[in-house]
Amino acid sequence: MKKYIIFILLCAAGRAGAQVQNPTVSLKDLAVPSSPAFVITDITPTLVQNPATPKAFVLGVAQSYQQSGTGFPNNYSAEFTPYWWLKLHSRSVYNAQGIHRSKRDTTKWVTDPTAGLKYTSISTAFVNKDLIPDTSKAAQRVFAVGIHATLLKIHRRGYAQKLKNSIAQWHTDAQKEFDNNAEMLDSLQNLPDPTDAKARERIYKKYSQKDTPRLLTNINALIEEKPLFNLDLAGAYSAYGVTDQKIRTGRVGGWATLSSYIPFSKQVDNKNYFEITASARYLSDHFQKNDQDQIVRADNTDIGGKAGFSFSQLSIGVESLYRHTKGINGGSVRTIGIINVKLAENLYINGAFGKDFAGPNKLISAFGINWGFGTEKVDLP
Amino acid sequence: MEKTYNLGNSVSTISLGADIDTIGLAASRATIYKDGSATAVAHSVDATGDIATQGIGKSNDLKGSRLQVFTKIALTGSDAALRAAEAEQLSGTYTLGGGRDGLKTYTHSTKDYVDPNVFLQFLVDLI
Repeated sequence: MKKYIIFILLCAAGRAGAQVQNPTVSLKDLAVPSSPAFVITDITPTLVQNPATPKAFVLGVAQSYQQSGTGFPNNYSAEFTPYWWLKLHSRSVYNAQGIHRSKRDTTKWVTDPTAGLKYTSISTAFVNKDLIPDTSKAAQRVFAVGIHATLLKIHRRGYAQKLKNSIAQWHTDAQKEFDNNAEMLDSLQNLPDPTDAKARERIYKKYSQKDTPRLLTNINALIEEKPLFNLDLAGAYSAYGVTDQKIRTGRVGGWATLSSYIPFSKQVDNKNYFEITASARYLSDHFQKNDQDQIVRADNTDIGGKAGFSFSQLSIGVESLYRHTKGINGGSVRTIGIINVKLAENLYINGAFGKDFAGPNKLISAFGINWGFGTEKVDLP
Repeated sequence: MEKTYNLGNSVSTISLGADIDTIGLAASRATIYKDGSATAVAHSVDATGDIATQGIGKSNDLKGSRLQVFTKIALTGSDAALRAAEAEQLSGTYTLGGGRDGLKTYTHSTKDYVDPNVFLQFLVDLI
């Protein structure tokens, strides 16, 4: 949930059963991160630059390099989508939403399942951090780069036509608005100084809209409709400057999440879905401490799945995770049930119960209350 | 920033094209203002907001008039920060042709952001 939890008023967690394992992976951890470079270096930057041009990116890195005085940019994080750097002059609401006329039947509109690829984003981070679990507390110069893409997004049949029709209706009504606002348009062109923004602002207050705001709400609901299938991929690489001369690969990761959403109704504003998600993560850490306190390379593969119902006030589901570590025979499985209830605006209860990794008797139960700001619906975590 | 277009003295047809670069919903209308009257001469046909290059009148009829291309853009999505970023980035490019100035491209439209709408106004005096 975006913008979720500004602060936690109360978070109580109880764990029952036999021993509880050290912090383990959850399905949320397996989900494709939007900024993989930050995830792979375990950082949560408070300030992420979003350079609007390649020049702004290079200048940001150079400035950080200059300010650090150490010959390495210090705590510089950036995230950008190269598509926005291109001045294509071909952008439109249709290609942004990935819909176009069918080539076989030009009266029909279809979706382009790979349209999300153009919004592939890059994240980078330059940090000084101790990511090697040895006795030294010296920080390494860490550089990380990551990529995130939506490879496939498949909507339900008729989605493109419905969206195109709504957009066409908006356009027709916007044209009618111009007729209804003819006087306003006249006074706008007749300003003594058309560059006077305050004078224009006064005129725009008289701009009358009839149906376009309602149509825009409808179109937004269609745009936010969850797809039938969605495949997100991400990858990240990090390198550690262990000395001034030596640079070593630190962590390498790959993520994939395939989701499917089945709506409970065909209404445009439907928020109730049956959700199925499958996630996989590969993480190779070249500097991980083993049981003998030796620093070795560790390769973990996690595969998980989740199924559940998501309503506006309640979500309930079950998730199962399998972990395989290279060099260790067999894997371990964790299966839990999860529930989230929206008690009131911004007040949520969540709970989990089930079997944890390793051993048949290791149970996990957790309960928490979250209080935050926002108007989000309850989603499966 | 030149805000005039020289039509010359011929009777040739003057053409106008508008290219609105946005991922929002856009609708455009071109209007000629002359001697206190307004005449719509072209408009977009879909929510790209673009006006395909087309004739807007004869050179001698348009002399002394003002051309306005007005575009309303409705920004989609629930993220106000993304809408603001798009409002910053979107733009209009306008092309006039057929007059003494030949094919001439303009980018000097004014932009006003009244969330979730953005209004672009391109004005040029036809002389």
